[in-house]
Amino acid sequence: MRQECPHIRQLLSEYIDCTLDSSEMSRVTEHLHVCGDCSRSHEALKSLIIRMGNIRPVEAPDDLLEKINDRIKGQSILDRLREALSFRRIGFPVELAAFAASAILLLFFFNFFPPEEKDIFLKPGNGKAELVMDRDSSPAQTAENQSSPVQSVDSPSSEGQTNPHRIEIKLALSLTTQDEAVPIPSQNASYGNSLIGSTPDDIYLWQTDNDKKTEKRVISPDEVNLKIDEIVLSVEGKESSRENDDVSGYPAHLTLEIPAVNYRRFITRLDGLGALQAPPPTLPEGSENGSVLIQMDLAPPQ
Amino acid sequence: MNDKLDNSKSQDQKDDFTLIRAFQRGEKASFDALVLRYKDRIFNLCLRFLGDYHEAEDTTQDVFLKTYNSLKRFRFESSFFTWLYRIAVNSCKNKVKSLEYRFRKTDARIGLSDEIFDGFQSEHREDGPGSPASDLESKEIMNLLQKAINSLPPDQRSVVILRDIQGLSYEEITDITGFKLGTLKSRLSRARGSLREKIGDIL
Repeated sequence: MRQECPHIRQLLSEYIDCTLDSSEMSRVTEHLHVCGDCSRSHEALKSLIIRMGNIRPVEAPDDLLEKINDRIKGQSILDRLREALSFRRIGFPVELAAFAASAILLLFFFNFFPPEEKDIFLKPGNGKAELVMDRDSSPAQTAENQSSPVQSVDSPSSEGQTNPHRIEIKLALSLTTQDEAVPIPSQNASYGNSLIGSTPDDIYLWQTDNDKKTEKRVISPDEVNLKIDEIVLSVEGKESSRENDDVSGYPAHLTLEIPAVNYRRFITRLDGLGALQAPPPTLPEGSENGSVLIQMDLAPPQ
Repeated sequence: MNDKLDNSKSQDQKDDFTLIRAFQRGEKASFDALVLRYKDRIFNLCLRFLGDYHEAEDTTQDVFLKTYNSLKRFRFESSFFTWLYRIAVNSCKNKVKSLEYRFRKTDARIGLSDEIFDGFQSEHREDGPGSPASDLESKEIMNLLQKAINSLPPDQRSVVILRDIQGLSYEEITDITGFKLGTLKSRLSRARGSLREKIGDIL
């Protein structure tokens, strides 16, 4: 092998294509005349190129156009969307898109559900979700009411119960009282007392002195919430949400589930809160063994 | 002769642009006309690149589907022909890279289907072209050649197919592949050298 053979062989490809400049073309030509090895390499390469050039084109399948048109028609919405977004074209990473989508979903979740429901979702445990009420927004849960009537709500999936009967109630809150009252145990009750409140262990009556002139007094939001707690407890209810009016602080919406057998008692107890806006719905016959889901709108104070 | 070729290409480009403008105006039939003009060339490019008839058919469909979806954005800044070929080469490269393809593609599969042998012309045979013996030999050579092409890295494979099988000019290939001229020449030289090493003696 001559000294310049390796270099000449590197040029053979371009030599065959005639893309070398004239001086190099001449140099390779001269070398091929005197070098048998390079000349054979040249012939072999030329032969290969000719062979490849002689490969006869194969006709595309007859139904190619038909299949292409079928695929165009059948393009899914997703494909078109993908094409429209052209993530690759604008260099938008798919991972970033997925992250953005997750963030949007999370944002939707936190805006869509009320705070109480968010807490239920966020604090699962042993098939139960603890309902964490914000004390500021739920004045009913005061220090003296640590064993609040409504502390936990069973997850629907954990019990497999049948759907409760749904009832909607509208109630106008009574926010004033004319009487200066003193609680007395029920055993000491006598004619002239009116029942306006109770506790779980004993029934207390409020004694009024009709001889005294009393001033009209407004019941505070805390008192209303406390009354609601008492009522819920007395009917063995499970409260799942309570929304207070943003401006007045009075409860405006209440959702609770009670045993159907306590439904009548519940309606009776509502007298202490205010006036029903319509006759209370009656439960269908045979539903005594189930539960009642009560959604109550409480008319906010004017 | 070169002038005639250039004129012919120029006319082809005008015809392409006319069809694309019609398509962009909403004439779907123009797209069919473009497919019919280029389907054989694109199919053969895919066939040689992938070495498998059915993969080539699928990929050719993919190429025209992508073309259909992008044609409304075609801005007439390059020839349709090089634009289409660029889509085809990239589709073939992606096909080769795809895990699915790697998984499904085995050496046994490279044992080529009869359709792929049909392209190899038998010539310069003592027993004459078209005879059973020459056909068998041609198919065997074609089989080896396709295997050798399959063994090339995708970039070398694309340039050797575009240049030596499809007969495109250096300029067209640089437009399609985006390679600089020097890169194209060296890749083509290496690809040819590699093929010659593998099957040179047989030829």
